[in-house]
Amino acid sequence: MNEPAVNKTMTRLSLAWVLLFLILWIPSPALPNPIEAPARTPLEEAEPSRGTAAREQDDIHSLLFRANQAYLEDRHEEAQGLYEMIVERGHLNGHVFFNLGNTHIRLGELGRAILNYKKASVLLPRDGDLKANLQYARSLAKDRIEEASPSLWNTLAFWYFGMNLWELLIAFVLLNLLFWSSALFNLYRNSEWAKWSLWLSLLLTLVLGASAGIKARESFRNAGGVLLEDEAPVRAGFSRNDTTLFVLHEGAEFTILDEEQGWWKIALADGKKGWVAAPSGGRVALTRDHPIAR
Amino acid sequence: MARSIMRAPRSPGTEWSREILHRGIRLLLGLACVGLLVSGAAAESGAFEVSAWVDKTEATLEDQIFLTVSISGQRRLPSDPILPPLPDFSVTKGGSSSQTRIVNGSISTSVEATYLLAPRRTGSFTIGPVRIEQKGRTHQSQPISIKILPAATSTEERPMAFVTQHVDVRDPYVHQQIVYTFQFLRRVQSVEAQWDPPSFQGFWVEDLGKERQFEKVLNGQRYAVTEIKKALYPLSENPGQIEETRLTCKLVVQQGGAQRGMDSFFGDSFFGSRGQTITKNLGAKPIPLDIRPLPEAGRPETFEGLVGSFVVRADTGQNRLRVGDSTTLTVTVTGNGNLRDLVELSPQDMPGFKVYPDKPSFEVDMQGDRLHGTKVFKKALVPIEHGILEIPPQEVPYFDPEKGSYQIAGTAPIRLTVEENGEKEPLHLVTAAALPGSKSSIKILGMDILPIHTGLAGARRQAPSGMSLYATLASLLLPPCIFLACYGRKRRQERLEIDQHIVRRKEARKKATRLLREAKRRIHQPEDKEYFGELSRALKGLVGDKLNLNTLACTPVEIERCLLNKGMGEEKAKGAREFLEELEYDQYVSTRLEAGEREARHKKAQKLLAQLDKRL
Repeated sequence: MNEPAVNKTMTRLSLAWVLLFLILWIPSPALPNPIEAPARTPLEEAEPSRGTAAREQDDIHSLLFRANQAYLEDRHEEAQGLYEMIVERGHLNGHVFFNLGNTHIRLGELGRAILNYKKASVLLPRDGDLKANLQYARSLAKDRIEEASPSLWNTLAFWYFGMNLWELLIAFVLLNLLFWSSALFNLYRNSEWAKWSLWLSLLLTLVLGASAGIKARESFRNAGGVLLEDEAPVRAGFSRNDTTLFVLHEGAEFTILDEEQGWWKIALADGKKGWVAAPSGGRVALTRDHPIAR
Repeated sequence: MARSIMRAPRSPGTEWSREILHRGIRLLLGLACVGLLVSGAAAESGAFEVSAWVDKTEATLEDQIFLTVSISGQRRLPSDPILPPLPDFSVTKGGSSSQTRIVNGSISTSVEATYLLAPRRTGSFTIGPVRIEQKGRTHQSQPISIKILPAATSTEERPMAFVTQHVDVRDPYVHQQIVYTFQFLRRVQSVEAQWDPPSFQGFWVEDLGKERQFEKVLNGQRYAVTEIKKALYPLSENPGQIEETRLTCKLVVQQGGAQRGMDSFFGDSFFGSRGQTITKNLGAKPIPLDIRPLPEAGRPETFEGLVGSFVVRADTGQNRLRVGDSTTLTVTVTGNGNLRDLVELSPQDMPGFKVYPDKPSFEVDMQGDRLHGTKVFKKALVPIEHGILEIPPQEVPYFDPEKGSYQIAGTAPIRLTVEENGEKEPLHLVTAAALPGSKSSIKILGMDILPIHTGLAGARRQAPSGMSLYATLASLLLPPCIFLACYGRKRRQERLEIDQHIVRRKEARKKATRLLREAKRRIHQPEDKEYFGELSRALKGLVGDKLNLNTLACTPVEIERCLLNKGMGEEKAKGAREFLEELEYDQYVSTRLEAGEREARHKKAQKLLAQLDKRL
C-alpha cells in the first residue's frame, strides 16, 4: 500500500475511532455511575471542607482497618458487616472480597464464602492465596460437580485470564497510544519497519480492546452463580409446582442462563439444567448489591 | 359464392399404419385395465401361507438347530412371525429375507426369517405352530418334532470340541477364595467363539490374569485349550451352585475321504484342502457347592470377615524423636484372601500419640493360581508426651479355612524414645524426610484457609468507575484527535505546495495591499503618473489572482466582463470598470492632479479592493 493510501486509511480509522468512542461515551447502566453521589458519611458531615474523594478514601481506609482488626480478633460477624459496608459504598476491591470470603468461612457460610472468592478472582485473577482458599472452600461443598478441564483457549488467551479489567484497560490505553504514535510517525516518515509496527500495534490494540470489552461484561454482568442456602430444589420450570429434577447444596456453582419471575434457569458444569428460586443464590457479577447475610 | 374445401387424398399406406396404431393403443389400455382388475381381485382374495422347517430333527445338546419360518402371500406381509414358547431352547434371531415375484400379472411376496435354537436339555420336543396375525385373522404353520440326544461324554467319544468348568474347592467357607476355571478344548480350528459365562450371582469376582492358551493331550488326541480363571468369594451361603455355562463357536472341519467323486478332485492337496464350518453350542454342567458359614466359636470381637491366610508387618521411620516431631507407622498386611474387606487395624488408639491416618493402599498380584493381596496402612504419629512410648501390636484377626479356626496375625509392640522438646515449638503438621535419598511425599495432615489480606492494597479501587473510567475513555480518544489534526495540517501544506491557484488566491489581498501601500508613498508627487498605474495594477492584480487569470494586460471592459462572469452585480462591475478607466485616463491623458484628488483616488482604490476581495 502506498503512502497516501495508508494515510487515507488512517484518517478513516481515526474518524471511526472517534465516532466509536462518542457512541460508547453514553454511560452503561451496568457500570457505576460517576454522577451518582453516594450518601454522605459521618466523616463528610464532620469535615465538609475536604474533597469528597479524599473523604471517601479516608472512610474506606478506616472501615477496612476496623474490619481487619475485627477479623483478627475473631469478631467475625462485625468484620463481615464492615467489609459489606465497604462493598456497598461501591469500593470494589479483590482483597476486600477475599477477606469477606474468609469471614464467611469462619462463620460457616460456605456459599457466601465461595461467592465472594469468585468475585475476588474477577479482580485478582493471579492471586495464589485466593486460589488456595477457593479450592479449600470448594472441597467443603457437598455437591461434587465435575468441572471441565482448562481448555487450550485458557493458555492461548493468557492475557485475558491473567489480567483484571483495570489492567486490561491500562494495557489497551498504552497500546492505543503506541498505535497512534506509529500512525503519526508513518505520516511524516516513510519506512518499512514503521508500517510493520503500525499494523502490529493496530492488531494488538484491537485484541486488547476486544479483551477489555469482554472482560467488562464478564465483570459487571457475570452469569456465574453460587447457591447460598443449605439446599435448594432445582425444578423443571419456574414454579414451585414443577417437578424437582435434583437438589443442590450450599456452595454449588452454576451458570445463570435466564431469569423469569424471580427464578433463575441454571446450568451446572456437567450439563445439568433446571430452574432455581433466585433468592436461593448469589450472582458473581461485581455490583454494590450484596446478598443479605443470614 | 359457394366455398369448397379441398383435401389431399390419403394414401392407402398411411391409413393402414394409423389403424394399426389405434388398435395397439386400445389393446394396451385394455390389458392394463384387465391386469388391474385381476390384481385387485387377487389382492382381495389372496391368503397367507405360513410354513416352518428345521435343518435337522435329531441333534445333540452341543448342536444348534436352524428354524426357518416362511410367509408367502399376495399382499403386504406382516414383518415378524410369532414363535411358540420354547422353554427348552435358547433362541437367537438370525437374518431375514424377502422376495417379490410377478408372474402373469400376479404379484406374490415371500418372507423368510431364520432362528437359531440351542437345546438346553435332552428329550423329545415339539416346536409348536408358528403364527402370524393380520387384521384379526391368524395363520399358522404345522408343528415340528425334534429329538435332542445327550452330548458324547466318554473318552472314546471325545468330540471335536467341548467345554469344562470346575472349582478348586467344592465346600468353601463364606468369603473364602475359590479358584474357578473354565476351559474350551478343541481338536479343530474354531472361529467366532463366544462365551456366555455364569452370572456368579452371590459371589465377589476378580479376574485371575488374562486367558491362557496351551495344548493338552487327552486319550491320545491333542487339544488346543483356552483357559480362563477367576477368583470367587462367596458372599453368603445362598448361591449353592455355579450355573451352567455355554460357549458358541464355529468349528472348521476338513472334508474327509467319504465324500469323493467331483469333490475329490478339488479336495486334493494340490488345490488345498476344503473346509466346512459347523456351528456348535457347547455347554458345561453347573457346579454344586456346599458353602459353609463361618463358625461362631472362637470368633474374635474385632473380626472383620477376613478369610484366608495373612501376615502383618509394622515399621516406623525412626525410633528416637522429640515431642511434636512426627514419624510414620507403616503396617503392611499380605496374604491370600479377601483383603479388600479389611478396613481398619486394631487397636486404633495409641496413648501418648496424636494419630493422623492416611488412606490405605491396596494392590493385588498373582501367586501361583491364587490372588495375593497387599494392603498398606500408613499413620502419621506425633508424640505429645516424652518418655518411652509404645506402639501397641497391630493385629488382624482372620479365619483360616485350612485350619478351620480363627487366627490373629499381629506385630510385636514397637518402642519409641521421645525426648522433651526444649524449644516449645508448635506441633509440626508435616513430616519431612531427614536422610538424603530417602525422601517421602509430604503428607497433608490438615487444611485451612490462608489468612486475610491486611495490606493497603485493599483500599485501592480496582474496578474502573467514576471519573477514572471517563479519563480512560478520554485518553483513548485523544490520540486519534491529535492524529487528525496533524493529518489535516500536513494535507493543507501539501495542497498549498501543489495548487498555485490557491496560493494566488490566498496571497491576492496581501499583494494588492502592498501595491497600494507602495503607491501611497507617491501620493504627494503630483508629476508622478505612475502612481495611477500602481493603483490600477493593484486592482487588476487582485482580480487576476482571485480568478487565476493574467489580468494585468486586460482592459477595464475585459475586467468588467470577468467580474460579471464571476457573478458580481452589474452596478459593482460597472463601478470597477469606470474607476479603472478613470485611473487609465489619469495616467495617460490628464495633465496634473492635486494631492487631494490623488488621495481620493487612493481611498477609492482601497474601498474597491475591499469590495472585490469580499465578492471574489
